[in-house]
Amino acid sequence: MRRGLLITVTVCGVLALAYLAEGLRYDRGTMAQPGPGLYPLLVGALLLVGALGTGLEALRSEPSPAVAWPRGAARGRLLAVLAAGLGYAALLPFLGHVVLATLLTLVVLQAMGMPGWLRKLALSLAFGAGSYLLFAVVLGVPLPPGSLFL
Amino acid sequence: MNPLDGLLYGFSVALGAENLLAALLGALVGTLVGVLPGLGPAGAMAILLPLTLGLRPETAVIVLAGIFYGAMYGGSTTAILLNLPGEPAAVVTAIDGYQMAQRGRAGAALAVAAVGSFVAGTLGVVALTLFAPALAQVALLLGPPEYFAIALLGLLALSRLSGGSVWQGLLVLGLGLAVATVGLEPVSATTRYTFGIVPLAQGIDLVPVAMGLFGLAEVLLVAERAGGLPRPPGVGLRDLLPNRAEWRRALPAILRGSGVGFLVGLLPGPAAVLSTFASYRLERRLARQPQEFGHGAIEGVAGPESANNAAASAMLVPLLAIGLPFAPAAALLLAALTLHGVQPGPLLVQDHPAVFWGVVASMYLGNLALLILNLPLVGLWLSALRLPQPALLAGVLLFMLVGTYGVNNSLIDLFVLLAMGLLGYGLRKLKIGVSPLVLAVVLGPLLEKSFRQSLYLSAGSLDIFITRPLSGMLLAVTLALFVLPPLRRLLAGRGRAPAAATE
Repeated sequence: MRRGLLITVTVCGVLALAYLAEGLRYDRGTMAQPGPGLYPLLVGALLLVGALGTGLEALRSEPSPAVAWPRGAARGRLLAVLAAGLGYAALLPFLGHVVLATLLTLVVLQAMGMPGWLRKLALSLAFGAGSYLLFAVVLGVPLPPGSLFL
Repeated sequence: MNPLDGLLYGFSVALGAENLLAALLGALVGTLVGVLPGLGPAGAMAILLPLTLGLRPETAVIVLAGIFYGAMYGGSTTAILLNLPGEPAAVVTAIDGYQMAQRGRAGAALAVAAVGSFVAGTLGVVALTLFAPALAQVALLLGPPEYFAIALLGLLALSRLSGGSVWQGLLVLGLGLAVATVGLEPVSATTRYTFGIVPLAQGIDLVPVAMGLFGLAEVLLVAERAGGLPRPPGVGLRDLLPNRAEWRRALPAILRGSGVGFLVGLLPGPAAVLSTFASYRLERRLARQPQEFGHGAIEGVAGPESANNAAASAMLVPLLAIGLPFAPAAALLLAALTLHGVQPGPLLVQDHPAVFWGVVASMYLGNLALLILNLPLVGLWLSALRLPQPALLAGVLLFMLVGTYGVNNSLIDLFVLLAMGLLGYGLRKLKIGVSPLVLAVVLGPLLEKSFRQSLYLSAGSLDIFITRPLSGMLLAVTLALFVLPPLRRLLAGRGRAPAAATE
């Protein structure tokens, strides 16, 4: 747990410093007429104090059981779900919703160990078409058709 | 409009076909969410929020509020039958509820939980009917320093009480406030922290943040575990009747739980969860046989289950009356209202009576529908646990992605969702609560705006926050939240030291 916390606070500490550095670029104004740069300095300071306090607390704490980060198959499933989401976000303008929704479902079903290819394929197609019907047709969300198909 | 006239008007709104269906649907979806362990009410509300875009404001809030209080009902079912709380507010119910189920009294525990939820939910809405309009009148007198003090107290109280240490709470709060500063700032419309990315100028929306931290983080945790859910035992309709002795013990606990729940629910912080602990402690203290607690005391089910439902109603009081949410679920209701161009706050009752009174009236109807439908359908709810998990996971992930995109038609929102999902997953692994982050994203702009307006008003003097009675008092309470616990520990330590020396 301690190692995980220390990594987190290091990242947050760096983030706080970068946030403060960027915040210094904005006009702070005066106390009577505060500009857009004053409040970010307070927020950055809070973030930095939180990171430092958490870090010191982690260093002074008794050793506790390590966080069970996923390994092996569990890590594979986690990465597959994340990759499916990332793929959807990155490729949406090019491949469009229906193709990507079908592929995403197929990837997740496969990663989660659902048996039977036919079943997986049928479910993926149903999810792809069903989500398009619900969001694009019923709710009127303008889902991109995909530039590759235009 | 006095509360009675308002309520009658509210019923005329809530009994419209669309709103009635919305209340019923919200309550039933909420029950399903409560039954399924993992995705909590806030996650479900975030996922379904984009679906409400095409609805009228009152209908959107009716369906989302239904999900919240429906989840409070549903959470107890798996807690009692499987020792698997469907949502955090049902953790305490599982202690004695599961023990009752082990002794063959599962039906009685379920019935008491449902009746308790109904009574508390209804009493909570009665109190909401009376309190919220009165508080809204008082809220008209509040100025920027008071709003700043209320928002600060809400954020710091939540960061102090939502799990993890004080420093971890402040860290998460700082992250949320930093996220809230991205985009156009609220006073002079300067863009900040956009790094030249044009879509970021409109700021980071609450929907991908809440959906990522609550919904996607849970999907990632489920993907990692990938274990099937346990098979639930069957419960016959005939078993659902508590005996006379059980009723006699449960009814006072239900009433006490309703009172405790409503009062705790008015406070900033994870009220629904805290109210169950407060009620459980009270019941154990008042019990003739406190040793029975933990081994199947019916008061241990009746009190906390009533408390979390009353807290769910109370949570709406600050949101509807002063426009400030103190819990993630309330923040999502606020998001739904603002998405529809409705600003909650003191003028809500006056400017949008259909929204205010329609939502209040729909809660009476929703609570009644939940009582009538839930007990006979307990078998149906449990069958939700048999859904194939891979399909459920793929469906929820897809729903989140499309739903997030649908709010602003923005690809940036999809990346925010994924980043927040990963952050939420990491924080959950480290046992750090994410609620302050979500609330900070909502309250951050108000905090900054009221802070700067106060400084303008006082010509730069910070005294304005202390010299105005209400803001001074609220800031003193905020300070006490951080100073009193270590002080008490210090004094207790000193008290123990001389005692140990004497021994």
